[in-house]
Amino acid sequence: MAYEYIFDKSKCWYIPACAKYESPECNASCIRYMEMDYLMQNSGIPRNRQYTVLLTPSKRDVQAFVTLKEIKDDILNFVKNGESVYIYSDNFGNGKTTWAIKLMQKYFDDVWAANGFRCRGIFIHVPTFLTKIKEGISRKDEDFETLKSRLMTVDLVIWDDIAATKLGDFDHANLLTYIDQRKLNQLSNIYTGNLHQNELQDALGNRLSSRVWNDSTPVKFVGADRRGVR
Amino acid sequence: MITLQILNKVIQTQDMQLITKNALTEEYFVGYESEFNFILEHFNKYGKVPDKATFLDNFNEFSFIDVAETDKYLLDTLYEEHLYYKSVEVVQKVAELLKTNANDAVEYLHSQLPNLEIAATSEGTDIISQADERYQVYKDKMNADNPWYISTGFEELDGIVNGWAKGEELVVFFARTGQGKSWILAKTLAHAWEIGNRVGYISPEMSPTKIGYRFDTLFKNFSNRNLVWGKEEPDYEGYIKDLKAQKIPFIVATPLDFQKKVTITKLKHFCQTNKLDILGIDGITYLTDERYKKGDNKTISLTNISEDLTSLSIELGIPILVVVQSNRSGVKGADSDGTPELETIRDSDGIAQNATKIIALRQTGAGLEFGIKKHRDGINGGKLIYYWDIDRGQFNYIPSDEDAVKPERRQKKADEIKNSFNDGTDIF
Repeated sequence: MAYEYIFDKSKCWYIPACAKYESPECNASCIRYMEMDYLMQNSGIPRNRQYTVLLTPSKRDVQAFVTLKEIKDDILNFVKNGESVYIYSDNFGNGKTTWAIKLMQKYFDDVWAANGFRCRGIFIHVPTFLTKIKEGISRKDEDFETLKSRLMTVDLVIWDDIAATKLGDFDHANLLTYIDQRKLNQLSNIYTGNLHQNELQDALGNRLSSRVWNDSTPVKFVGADRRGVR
Repeated sequence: MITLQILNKVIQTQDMQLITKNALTEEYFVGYESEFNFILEHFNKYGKVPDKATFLDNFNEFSFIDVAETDKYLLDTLYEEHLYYKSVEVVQKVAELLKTNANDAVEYLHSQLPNLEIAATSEGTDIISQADERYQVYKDKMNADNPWYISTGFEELDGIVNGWAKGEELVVFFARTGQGKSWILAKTLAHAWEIGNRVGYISPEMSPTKIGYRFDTLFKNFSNRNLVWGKEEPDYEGYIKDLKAQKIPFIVATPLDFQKKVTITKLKHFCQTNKLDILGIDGITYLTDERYKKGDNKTISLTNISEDLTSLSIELGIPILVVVQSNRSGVKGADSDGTPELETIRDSDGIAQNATKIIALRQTGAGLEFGIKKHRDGINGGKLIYYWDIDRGQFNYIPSDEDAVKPERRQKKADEIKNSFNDGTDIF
């Protein structure tokens, strides 16, 4: 679906903080809304995950939160230097994807003012992405082709659930191509997954796991599933 | 006689320059075409003009005469004679047409006039000895009461192209259909009017009333939808009263005003009659090629038209702005960053060649992207993005890391925008 700009103030990301909200300036020509809308919708971050969520760490994850907070506070340099982070844990639902999105959104928040409607970050749910690549062999999807071409150049990519399934040769070759190219171009990545270094090698193979693990800052969550916890 | 004199002089002096330097062709040597071609072919083959004996061998009845006249005299007389032959043909045809329709006759005459230009020995311009003249032009530009360039109405675009030059300026706006070309033309013309220029707008597709509503929207930000749909628009009546008191005209003409045939000759008359300072044409393809010859395709016609528009701009000393549609290959996908490229201008390599500035337009995100594809006096390839409220006719510059605005100016604008949101707390 080609991007279309639609202003809906009730969906603005800055409602809790914006001094202009509900003022006469809160209208379709709000440049921050325009740019953030462009960045968010083109990133592929699911709409229901685009809004801020308060994350409270379990005691055991405080250090991981501190590390991620440091990355978030310096996200411009993190991306500029082409750095990557691998957020992983044995458990599900303890905030890995939420943190990944949070980092990307903070990057959007830092760059929107001189963005000029450029796609700067993409959220990829890896299992879905690999399935779509296979589907694309027999059926061309223009939007998906656009997304694939952007993957090679966009500043930041979230590879969500990177080793959720064991990769076949075809999947492996595809994923390796994109991640390799991004590393060569010194572009930033955020990976999320449930595998440790050794398991990652088994699932992704040596070359790909080396890209993901060795070239990233690993951040491990050990806390339990916190979905539904307020 | 003059052709005989020239051929004799060439053989006599054994110097071919009189022919080669002045690009004379057999067309000029009526009755002596074979002799002319023989000399030319001999020269091309053997690198010298044939001598008297060789020539006589081939043309034994040729009259050899002594020629003492200067080259200038010979050429001026040749040109005059040549013009005579060409004029007779045109005048006869005009006389024929006059019997049935004076409009057709005059139109034909106008179309042929460029071919009947009075030629003279062409000596070019010595830019060394003429240096004073251009220094004077430069000083005039610096000190003119009215600026030599007309501002475009887009501050950041002015920073890149320096406005529209008053003369020798053919500006092309091109895009796929529905991207806002006509609006941009109207916007820049409305701005030119606002700063005191007499404006002409050729509108092949829309009535003067509709262009008028666009003007009102662009000038004072009235809702275009309300004006077109006839809905309540506060203060419009008072605005109209004030507007009527303005003395500078903004003249909209449709093909009906040109008897459905918009030619360069008629446009020239239109500009001169209305003493225009700037002319906009909303669709180059609606113009009629006065130099059209049987068998000419659309590309040739558009090349002729764009050449004639450039000449018109030079002659009248005004910028001419035209709108051109790009072809289907000009459609960019969602991710193919950038405006359409020059090769997508429909049927019109010649337009790109003759234009002094070419600006491609494309809707992107919530903005309108300007791509500067050609800039004869500056750098090609820059881009600019504006947020465009189409209903209110407002354009706001949107800074982009990749645009062509000076980095310090862009950064200043980006900081201004960012600082205007004083949130006080982090959201993400």
